[in-house]
Amino acid sequence: MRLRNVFVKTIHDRRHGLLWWSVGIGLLTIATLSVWPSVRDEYQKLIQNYPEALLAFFGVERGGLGSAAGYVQVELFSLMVPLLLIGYMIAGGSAATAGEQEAGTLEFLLAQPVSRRRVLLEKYLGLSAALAVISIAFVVVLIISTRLFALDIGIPNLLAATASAYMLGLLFGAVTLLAGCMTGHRALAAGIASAAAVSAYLLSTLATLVAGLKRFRPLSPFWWYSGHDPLRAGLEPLHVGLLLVATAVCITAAVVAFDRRDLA
Amino acid sequence: MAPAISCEDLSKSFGPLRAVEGVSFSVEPGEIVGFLGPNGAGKTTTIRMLLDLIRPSRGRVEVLGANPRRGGAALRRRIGYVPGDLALYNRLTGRQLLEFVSALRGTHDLTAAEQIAEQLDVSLERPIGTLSRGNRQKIGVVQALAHAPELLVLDEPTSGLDPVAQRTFRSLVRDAAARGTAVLLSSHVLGEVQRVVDRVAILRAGRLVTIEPMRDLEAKALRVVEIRFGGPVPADEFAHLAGVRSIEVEGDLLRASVAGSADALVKAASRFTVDSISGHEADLEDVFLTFYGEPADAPA
Repeated sequence: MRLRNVFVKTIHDRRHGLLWWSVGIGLLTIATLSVWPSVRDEYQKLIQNYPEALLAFFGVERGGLGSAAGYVQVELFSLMVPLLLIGYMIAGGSAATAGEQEAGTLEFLLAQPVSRRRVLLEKYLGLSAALAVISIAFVVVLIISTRLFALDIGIPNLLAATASAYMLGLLFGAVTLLAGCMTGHRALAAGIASAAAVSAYLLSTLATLVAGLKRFRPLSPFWWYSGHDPLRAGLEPLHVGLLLVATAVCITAAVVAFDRRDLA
Repeated sequence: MAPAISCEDLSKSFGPLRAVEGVSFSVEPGEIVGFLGPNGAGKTTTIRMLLDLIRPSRGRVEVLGANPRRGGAALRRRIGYVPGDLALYNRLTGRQLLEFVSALRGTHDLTAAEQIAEQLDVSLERPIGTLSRGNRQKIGVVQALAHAPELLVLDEPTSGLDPVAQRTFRSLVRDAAARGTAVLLSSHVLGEVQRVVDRVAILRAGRLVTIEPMRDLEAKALRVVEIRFGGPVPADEFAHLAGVRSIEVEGDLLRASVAGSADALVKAASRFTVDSISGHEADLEDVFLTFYGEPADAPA
C-alpha cells in the first residue's frame, strides 16, 4: 500500500487490527445466533420472567420479545455491538493525535506540508472507513447467520440497526478525538470518552425506569441510537440527524482545538 | 532577497516559565548559522516557533518572508526539518516513510532521497524501529534534505552519528548552502558545528547572548595551554601577560587559559627550558565563562 496521504496511512496503520476486530465480532455473532434454534421455545418464557429493570438495560420493552428480533436486540444490539464499535473508535481516536503526540511522531508529521485541519480530518475519515469495514463484516455475518439459523428478520432492518450502531461509533470517535485534541494525553482522552459513553448508556436505560429521568432521555446518544427501535422500525431521520449533527459539532470543535494548540 | 529567517523580540512563555525571551536574529539565504547553547537554553523552543508547532507569546517571526502560521502547509513545503527529539514511524521502512513525506510534499520522486541515503550509508528497506539510533537519525536527515528545501532547520542533527557520517553530513549541509539554502544548525557542543557554520548565535537561559561570525568567535576562543619546564619556574614571571585569562604554576608545570594570541605567554616561557607544550580548545562552557562571566547553567 503506497502511503499517499494521512488517510491511507491511517488505514495502513490499522490494517492488522481491522482484521482481528472483524473476525472477533463475526465469531461473536455466529456464536450468539447459532443457539437460537435450541433456545427459541424457552426464550419466550425466560424473557417474560425478567424483571422490568433488566429489560430496560437491554433496551427493550416487554411484548414481541420472544421474537427473533427481540433476541437479536437483547443479545447483540442492546449492548455488545455498540460497545465494540465504540471501543474501537475510542482506541483509534485517542491514538490519532494524543497517541502520536505522546510517541513524539506528531511533531514530525505536523512539520510536513500538511495543515493540522487536514491531518485531523483525514485521520478521522480513515478511522471511520476502518469502522465501516468492521460494521460491514458484522452485518454480512449477521445476515448470513439469521438465514442459517432461521431468525426471521428482514435484511433492511438488520442494515438499519447496524447503520445506527455505526453512527453511534462515529459520534464517540469524534468525542474521543475532541478530548485528545484538547488534552494531548491518550489515556485521558480515552477515559473522558469512555465516561461519556457509559453516562449516555446509563442515562438512556435509567430513564426508562425512573419516571423523573424520562424527560432527559432525549439527551442521551444511546437513545438517539436505539430509541426509535431501528431493528424493527428502521431508521428515523430525527435520530440519524441527532447522531450526525453531534458528530459534526465534535469534529469541528476538535479541528479548532487542534489548530490553536501549542504542540508542547 | 528577504532573509530566510527573521526574528524580532521573539518570546515564548509556558505559564510562569520564560523559555525564550526577546530573541532577535536573522539567517540569510546560503548562510549556515550555528545555534548554540546548553540544554534548556531555548534553542528547541525557538526552532519550534519557526515551524509553527508552537506560537510565540510576543514578538515577530518570519520564515522565507512569511509568518509561519499564515504560511501554513505551503510554507513548510519549502523547509526541511530534523526535530530535536526525533521520533519517526517505527513500523514503516525508511522507504515507506520517504514515500509518505514526498507524497505530502506533492512529489513522488525518491531519486534524491535514495542518493542521500546512499551517501550516509543507511538502509531504506528495514523498519525504522529496527535501526540503531544513529541510523534513525540518518533517515531524519535524509527526509529533511530530500526535497532540496530553501531552508534547513536542524535541531541537534548529528546526535548519535558516527564521525564518518558526521563528515558526510557536514558536506551535505555545505553543498545545500552553496546552492542557496539557508541553514540553522543547533547544537550544545561548539566543536560539532564550528567546522561548518558561517555565524554562531549563542543562546543562554532563553536570551540571545551573541550572534557573530565564527571567525571572530574563534579568534576570541579560549585555549588551555600546558607547558612542562625542565625545572620549577617562578610563578610571578608569568603574571599579567597579555591574552592570558588565568594561570596556575605548580613546580615545573604551568597551566594557562589563553584567549586569542598566545604570543606573550610563549615569549615569557622561552626564557626557561621547555620540555613540552600542549594545548586544546576550550568547550562551550569555558567560552561562556570567559565572555559572559558566569557558568552557562547559572540562572539569568
